[in-house]
Amino acid sequence: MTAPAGRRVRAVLVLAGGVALVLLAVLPPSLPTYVVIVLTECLIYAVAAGSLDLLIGYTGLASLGHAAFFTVGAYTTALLATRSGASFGTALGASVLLAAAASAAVGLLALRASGIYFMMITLSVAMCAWGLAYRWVSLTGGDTGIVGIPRPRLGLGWLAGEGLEFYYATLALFAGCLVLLLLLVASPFGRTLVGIRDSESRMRVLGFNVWLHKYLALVIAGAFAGLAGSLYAYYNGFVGPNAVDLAHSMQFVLMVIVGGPGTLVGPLLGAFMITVLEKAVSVFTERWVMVLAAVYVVTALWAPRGLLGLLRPVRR
Amino acid sequence: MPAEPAVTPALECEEVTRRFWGVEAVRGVNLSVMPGERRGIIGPNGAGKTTLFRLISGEMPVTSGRIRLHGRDITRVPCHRRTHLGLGRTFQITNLFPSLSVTDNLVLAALGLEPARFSMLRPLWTYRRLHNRAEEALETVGLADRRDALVRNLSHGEQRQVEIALALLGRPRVLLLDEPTAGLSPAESARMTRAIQGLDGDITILLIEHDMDVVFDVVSRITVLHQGRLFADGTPEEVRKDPRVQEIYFGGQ
Repeated sequence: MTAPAGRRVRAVLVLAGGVALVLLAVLPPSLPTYVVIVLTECLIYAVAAGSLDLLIGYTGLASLGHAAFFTVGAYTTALLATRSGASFGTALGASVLLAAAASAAVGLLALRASGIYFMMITLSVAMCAWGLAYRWVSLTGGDTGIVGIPRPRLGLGWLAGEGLEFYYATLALFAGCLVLLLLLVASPFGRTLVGIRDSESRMRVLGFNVWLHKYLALVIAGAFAGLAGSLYAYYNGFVGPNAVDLAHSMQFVLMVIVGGPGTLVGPLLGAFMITVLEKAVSVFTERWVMVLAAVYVVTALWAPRGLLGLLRPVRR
Repeated sequence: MPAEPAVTPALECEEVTRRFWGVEAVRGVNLSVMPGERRGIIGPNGAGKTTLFRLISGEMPVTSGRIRLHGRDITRVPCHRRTHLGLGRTFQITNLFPSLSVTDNLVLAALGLEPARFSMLRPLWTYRRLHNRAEEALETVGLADRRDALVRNLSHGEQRQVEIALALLGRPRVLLLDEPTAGLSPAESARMTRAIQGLDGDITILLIEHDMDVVFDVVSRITVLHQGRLFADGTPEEVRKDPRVQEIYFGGQ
């Protein structure tokens, strides 16, 4: 239902996305190990950023607490994998469920507020998650964190060698999440989220239970964040409070903003860009956060609708 | 005198009151509107007209009093449920989805009453019925050639038409129109008046309007609010001749 110019841009995007996915599937065996590691991290953060875009870009809920649910997923997996030797599937499923449950609990509180107050509540939730990770030593190991999380054995070694096993598992889950998120934003429910972003009062008068729609969006986004957190725990082999601190929470938000909120694909690109940039910059300087801030300022000044926003044609 | 059949009013307000920090914006308003009636609500600025609409639609809770829709007490029913019970509303200040196209605005409005609004895994464009309803509404308001335009790029007059179309897609039996001609040119205003007159006669309409020509053309009864109170009630002629109404409302003219 878009104007021809919009359709052409969309066709180009779909094509580019397809090519990118094929490259992500085909290239890694011939890439240096370090590059594959960075790509794995990119894919994990892309899931987190994509799901956060459901809230920020589609629903207009500027949540600063997404890292909290990522944290729940990461620690759940870390605990299950190290203390009870749970399988990949079990740890992943439990992480998703617990993150969704945490999100459901937080939603009851956070959705009592809106706008800046919603941001403040979600920010404090992220701080609480960090505080718990840091202080609840008996469970989380405090500052030491949880070490020695074994890479899952998936029996995929025949595919591309042991080193690439986890990369391909991550890629498959990323692709699955991408399909689910794309379906969600194209669905009637996804459209109601955009309606809520544009006008809550109108949505109510049209017969939509605005609170319930926002609540479901929060729980769904939380579940995806939990999945990303679980993958992160396996990827990193170690989970500590520094993985879930404030900077982390802000990083998810920046991935969405830099990539283009409300485009879904944009935040995935943003996740790749910021993750790769962090690795590249860290080679030269310790002041990564300063560079990140500069990226944000440049985005805010010259591309306020993000990278993908630059491609969007002006419609009349 | 033949016994009148007991008709349940489409909408009843009983001693409806709304207080803001000690200021009573609406005080003890009693109102009874019969099915199919077209009722004008007039009154000077700050009389409580829009507040009364917000209380009826459920956007704001009443401080005290009762509201009944077709005999059913809806005083404590949340706003979105009232829409499912047959209440519709338009806004004085245009309230649409500016980032969506005209078609998408209408599709979203048609979705409001459908269980499919919670469907998450099937693309919206595959719901043919919703799009057909949107297409019908598009023809009705005469915006067919603007279907792909973003609502924020429409003229004010076109936006006011979409405003009404959204409310009608909710299939209301009682429709609250809050100054539908606000900001329209005389020609557009006349077209809007004809559109309101052309609405299904079964729909009960409450119309807030400052433009007296529109009011007198459309409604059969007028309720005058003043300082939150029900001030006068009657046919357009009676209200026009009422010296007290002239005092507060037509005073300057």
